[in-house]
Amino acid sequence: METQKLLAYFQAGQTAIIERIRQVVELESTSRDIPGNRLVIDWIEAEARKISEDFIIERIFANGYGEHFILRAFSSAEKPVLLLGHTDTVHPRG
Amino acid sequence: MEDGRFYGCGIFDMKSGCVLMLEALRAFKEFNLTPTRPITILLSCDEEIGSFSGRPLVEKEAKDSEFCLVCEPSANGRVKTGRKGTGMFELKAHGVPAHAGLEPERGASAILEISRQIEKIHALNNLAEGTTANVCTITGGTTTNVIPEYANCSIDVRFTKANEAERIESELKNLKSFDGRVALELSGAINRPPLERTETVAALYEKARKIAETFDYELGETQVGGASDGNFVAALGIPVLDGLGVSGNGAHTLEEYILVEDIPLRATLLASLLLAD
Repeated sequence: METQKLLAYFQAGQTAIIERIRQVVELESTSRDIPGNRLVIDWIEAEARKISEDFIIERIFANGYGEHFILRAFSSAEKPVLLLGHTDTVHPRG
Repeated sequence: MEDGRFYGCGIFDMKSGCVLMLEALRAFKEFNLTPTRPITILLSCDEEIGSFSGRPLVEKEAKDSEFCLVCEPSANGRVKTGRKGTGMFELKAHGVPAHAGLEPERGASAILEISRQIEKIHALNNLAEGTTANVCTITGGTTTNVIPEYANCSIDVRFTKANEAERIESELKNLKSFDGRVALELSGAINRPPLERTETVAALYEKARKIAETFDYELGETQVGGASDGNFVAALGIPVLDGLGVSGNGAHTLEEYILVEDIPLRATLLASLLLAD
């Protein structure tokens, strides 16, 4: 797909993307804040499910930290691309 | 929101990056697109504190992957093709307390010992090699008229080469006290290996740069001193491109923000990288 078409799509959807970023940022999740982290993972899982019911989602509880989140999509015989990130922040509540 | 900046704690590092990944998936659904390869999204929950829980998971997923894209913050818009390795240590000194007025000579000051050791620790720096060792916190003593029995300091270590990590760790382990009555104890370890700008990392960057050019987006690269989970992936020989998150600044501060105009550009870049051959 042409990058210009994708860019137009994301630009048109910018307001909605900003709103989604706002929602997840407001769910505070400093490292080791388990309830806070859980709310963030709940939000991410819910958003993912809105996109597709076909994604395979795993939530792995990490004692003392929160939940690691794994989503698998478009499975095939090929080796996957790994998209890496983290849901904890350095900012304590408040 | 102010002057094109979207402020929020954790927005840059890296909640907007997490959203970017979902937005790519949303775009694929909207246009009924299938990316070239399966996609695995892994979001750990303890990256900021060293990934002691997340690391095995990252390595397990990385081993089965063709390459890895990390949506951590960029550096002034530049993606990260190199990161230093890190180590976190603590040096504790256990001396002998005594009354500072009545019998100071019977005491062996842990604070004096630590302060002498700090000079030795700083002498381990080798900036030409990209190796740094910095004492960043120090505590000790109980009250103003007692020779301190305990003192400790934390040591932040960064390096670009694995043999430098070995050198630093060995030197720290071999620190000998100046005062024979003070015992030294070192704890901690090397935490993350470096993310080295190998040929495959450079090739992945080049691929991203060319894609960005197709929509007039200038994508630079840089090497930084901070580490991420991408370091673990790179150490396994899997190509990594890091710093793909939305541009912004102020990570780890109350002034943290992202640049709103960069959101669709970074989303296009990520989605296009996943659709490319």
